[in-house]
Amino acid sequence: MSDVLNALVILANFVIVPGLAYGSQLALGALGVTLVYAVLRFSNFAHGETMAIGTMFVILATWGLQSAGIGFGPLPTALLALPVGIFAAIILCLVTDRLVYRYYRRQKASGVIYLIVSVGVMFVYNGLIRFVIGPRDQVFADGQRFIIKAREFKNMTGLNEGLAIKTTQVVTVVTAIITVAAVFWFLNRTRTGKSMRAFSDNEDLALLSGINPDRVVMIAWIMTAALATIAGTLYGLDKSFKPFVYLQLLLPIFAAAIVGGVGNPIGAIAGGFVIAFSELFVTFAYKRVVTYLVPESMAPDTLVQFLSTDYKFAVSFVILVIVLLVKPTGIFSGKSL
Amino acid sequence: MIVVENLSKHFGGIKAVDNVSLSIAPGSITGLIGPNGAGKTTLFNVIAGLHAPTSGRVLLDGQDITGLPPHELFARGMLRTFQIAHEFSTLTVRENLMLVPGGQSGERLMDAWLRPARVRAEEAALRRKADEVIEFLQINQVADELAGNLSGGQKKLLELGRTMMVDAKIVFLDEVGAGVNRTLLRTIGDAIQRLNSERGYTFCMIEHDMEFISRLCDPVIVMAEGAVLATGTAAEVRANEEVIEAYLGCVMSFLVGEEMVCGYGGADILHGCTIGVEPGEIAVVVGPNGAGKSTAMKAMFGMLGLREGRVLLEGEDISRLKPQERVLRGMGFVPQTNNVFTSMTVEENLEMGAFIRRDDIATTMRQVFDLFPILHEKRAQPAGELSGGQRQQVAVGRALMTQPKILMLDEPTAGVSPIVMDELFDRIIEVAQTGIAILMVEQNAKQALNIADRGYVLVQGRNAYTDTGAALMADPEVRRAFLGG
Amino acid sequence: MKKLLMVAMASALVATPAMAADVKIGVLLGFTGPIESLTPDMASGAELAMKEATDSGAFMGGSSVSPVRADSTCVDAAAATAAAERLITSDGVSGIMGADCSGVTIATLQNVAMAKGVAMISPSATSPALSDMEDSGLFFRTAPSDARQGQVVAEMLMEKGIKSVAITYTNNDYGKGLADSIQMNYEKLGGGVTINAAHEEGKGDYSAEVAALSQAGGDMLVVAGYLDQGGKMIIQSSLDTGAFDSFFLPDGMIGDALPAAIGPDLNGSIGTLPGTDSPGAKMLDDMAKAAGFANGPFTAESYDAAALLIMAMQAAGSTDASSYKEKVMMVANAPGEKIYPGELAKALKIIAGGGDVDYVGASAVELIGSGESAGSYAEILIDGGKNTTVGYR
Repeated sequence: MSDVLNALVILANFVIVPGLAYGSQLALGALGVTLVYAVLRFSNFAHGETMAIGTMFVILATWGLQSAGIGFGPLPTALLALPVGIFAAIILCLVTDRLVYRYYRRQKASGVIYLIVSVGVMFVYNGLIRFVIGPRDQVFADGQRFIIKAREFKNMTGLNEGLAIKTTQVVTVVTAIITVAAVFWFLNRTRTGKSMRAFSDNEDLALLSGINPDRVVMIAWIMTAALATIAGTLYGLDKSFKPFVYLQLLLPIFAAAIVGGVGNPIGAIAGGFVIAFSELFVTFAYKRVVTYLVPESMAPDTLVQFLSTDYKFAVSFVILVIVLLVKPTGIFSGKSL
Repeated sequence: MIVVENLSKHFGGIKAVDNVSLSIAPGSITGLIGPNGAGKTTLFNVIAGLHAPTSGRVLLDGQDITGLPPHELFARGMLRTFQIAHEFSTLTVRENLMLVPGGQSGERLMDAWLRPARVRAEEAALRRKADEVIEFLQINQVADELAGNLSGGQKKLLELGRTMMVDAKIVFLDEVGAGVNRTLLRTIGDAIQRLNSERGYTFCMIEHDMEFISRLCDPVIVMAEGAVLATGTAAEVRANEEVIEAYLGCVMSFLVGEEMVCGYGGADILHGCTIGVEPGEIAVVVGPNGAGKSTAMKAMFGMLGLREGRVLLEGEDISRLKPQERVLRGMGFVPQTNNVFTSMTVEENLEMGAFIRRDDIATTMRQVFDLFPILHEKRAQPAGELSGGQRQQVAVGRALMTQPKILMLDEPTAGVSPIVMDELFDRIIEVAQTGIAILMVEQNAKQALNIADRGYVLVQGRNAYTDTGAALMADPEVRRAFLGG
Repeated sequence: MKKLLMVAMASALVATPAMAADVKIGVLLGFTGPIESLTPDMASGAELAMKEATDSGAFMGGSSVSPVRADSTCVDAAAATAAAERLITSDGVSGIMGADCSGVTIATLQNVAMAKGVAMISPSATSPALSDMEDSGLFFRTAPSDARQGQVVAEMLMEKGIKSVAITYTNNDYGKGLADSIQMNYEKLGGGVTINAAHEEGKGDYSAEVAALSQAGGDMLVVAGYLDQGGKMIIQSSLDTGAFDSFFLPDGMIGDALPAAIGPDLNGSIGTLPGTDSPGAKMLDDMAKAAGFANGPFTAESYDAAALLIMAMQAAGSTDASSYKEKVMMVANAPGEKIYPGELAKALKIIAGGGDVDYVGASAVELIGSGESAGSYAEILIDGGKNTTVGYR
């Protein structure tokens, strides 16, 4: 019996708990991508950098709070700094929209042009980050590091295996739940949210209903900036803030958005967790899990790993390709909010 | 010259022309104006022998010509042009002109063979005549152009030219100015005046353009609801209270798209078409595919910019307003396709319809649910999951949520079963009875004209026929061309 | 009188065979990248030797030596090659003190130094592959090959009674070479390697890598990586998940930044760093302190590398690598007067006078084979949040 528990604890420690946190981060990222797609009808390649730049603002604000001696008890100070970062990111996104995207909107540019433009924006943001905070990694997580340490867990339960739960993991999941609930409440319950859904569903009809497109676009950017900043900050807290890592995150985030059905917020969240857990389950080595579960004589010599961890990002690609082949519209076949 | 005595023309129960008496003095240019459906075209058709009158008679120079077929009238020097030019599009302008006088020797096979000299002589005479007409009308530059390639206005000039080929005494012009740009209209006006003063032609013309009428016509006869309302100079008519109320107030009134010219990209689809509607009235736009019906709706709702013409709502020019702003002015539009938010529930669709309203929408929503009870039942279901007919109800309901003064529907019955169509029409009538003006484009022309207070038949972006729905239904020409008999 | 003047002038000319000039030496180190916390002190060490030579006035008829810094990035071969190219063609350096990491060292050696005929002495490239590489006699290193480090690591592990380890290495020439050497030596001594897996630098998250390592198990995790990037994050992630609680840290992982970043959890982990208990190391400590920098990892090797370049040039009487490359082994090894840090002036004078020197320097330089350090290592124990040296071998 304890063998089974030990096996479960290993899975929980290395796959399920990190997967929940990583999945939440991807889901929030994908939600931002999907939002832009649903309203502005293009794939925003600058989203990864938007996350990075939002996180950068949060870090700067965190430093400010820390130097002023303000903390958040056992929780990371960055959570207090989050509103400041979100605000700065919103300003940046709105300025970008005004300076860049609006021009192309007036030109009624096609999606491909938008996409290339967003790549350009990505590089500008990238340079901005390099300029302001530099390319190095920044550690800004403070507060209590663990809720349960692996060793404490072992002592507590008497099991061989430990389960560590980091504060940042819990903060990530809780913040993600609150954020997603807020987004859904906004989209489904408020007049403005409904008007966004209407605009994304049928732009022409939305215009006929007197919905102001500029306002919808503005709100879409505000939400995108907020979501990107929250997702980026959670990722940075949980893992590490390296400005250029967010560029790599773009692939799993887009995979999540597309797998779930681009433009569909529920799909984005489901897609985030699908991608996160597939990456972890496929690259996890099950040697000790299997060893606990089978008789000693059958214990495996190899790692029992489907794919080397080097191919972690390839997993996103493979899932993306499979979904596009089997159900091109994604799991939740969406086009609109 | 022409005297009309107590003329009536009834189509079934509809009195298109009702006991009209008027006279047209020789050498005059008489204008015939009136709101759409006033019976002007019907009156023309009766005078020109296309319809036999129900009662009354028509005298030409004292002779009773009532009921004479068109070719007999033609022989007596009486001609009628049509709202839509009837040219032979594959012949040149010159050839078109030379074909006008009938009874030519060359038309008889025997003569063509046996008396070639005579045929040749006649042809030479005709050619001279045609050249003279071309000269008179100053259309030299297009004389050898195929008539099909002419612009709308040039075709109207060609129509005039055809009347000159037979030295007509009196010419009836049906909306000669429709779909013609201002410059060409002036040229046409000049030609009419010169034909009148130099050649002694008598004209009688139906026209909507008041400026054109004022410049050319004296006297002006105003018709309304099948009867003559007033006669006088243009200025007198314009000052007449009754006329203002019945006609000017009407065209200028609720919603009218005047002389709209527009299209997509470089090509115009509408070439000066005029469509209007009154409160509590159902106006239906019908016509063959590609006639520009939907385009006209889009133009009137501001989804398509006008190149010429204007849109008036309650007398105010709203041509420059965006669709959203027109929504605010009380216009509602139901597009032909994609007319619901498929991912949103029925209730949310209605809510979005009322987006511009800041007040309580519960009452309006209840009214819509009363009108379409099925929607109340399915209010929590995404609109995308409803049947075609139910979707149309959602679409109409959504547009009604703004409490519009005018509701525009683009083919509301496209793709629904006949039973559903009848039900939808019933609902539309109900909506109209609440005092809302309804303007709709319909593919199912017969059924739509049946419920229409007025009907517009569009052909190639121009008004071909305008009358009450019933009159159009009864008009054999309309039936033959557009309603499948 | 006139004749006397002529003679004086002529003898003056003969006495100074070379005009006093400014000799430039490139300092090609990864000022950005995964060992960026180490390189400033390394560069300072090398520059200290150069300053010493200049100040002595005895270098090649009073010539000065000045350093030119360039960024090898440690990991980006293309960037390092471009930097080396610039050093040689645009700055006109006569020799290169560098590069630091094995991969970029190999790249710059093959692509630039050999093509241009400029000698390189690396203070820290430890890949075994460099031992047998064709180098036209232009490459030397004051660091030992990792073949030797692997041996030392294996012995240390066995002596601590650790019977099985998991190894993760940074995916480049240095990491792979070291990891393979450790595995080979450790298994030869009877130890078990449960997994020998690579990790990439520059990722944001190494939890998947750590998960795989933890499943393979082992008493200790050997992290053949870099302390400022992947290596640090793997250790952090291992500690967070309880996958491993003690680590073996080879030379790339030794630096003050690591215990400072990880905190007390790292106490008890052990490591190796090239180093000796010869008096030279202590001397350099004092000199560095006086000059305002720390004698950190590879600082001594950097000082020695620069000193060797300078002495070889002096011995050859030329800044042309094709002639001074022959002299490097000569000045580094016996016979001759033993030279310690701070004695460069003395050495230069001996060489100018036609004498022989045996450079010991700060890291007990003894070049073997094709010109690499025989290798003495310091045993490091992390204790109280600091790297402490507990012995040498």
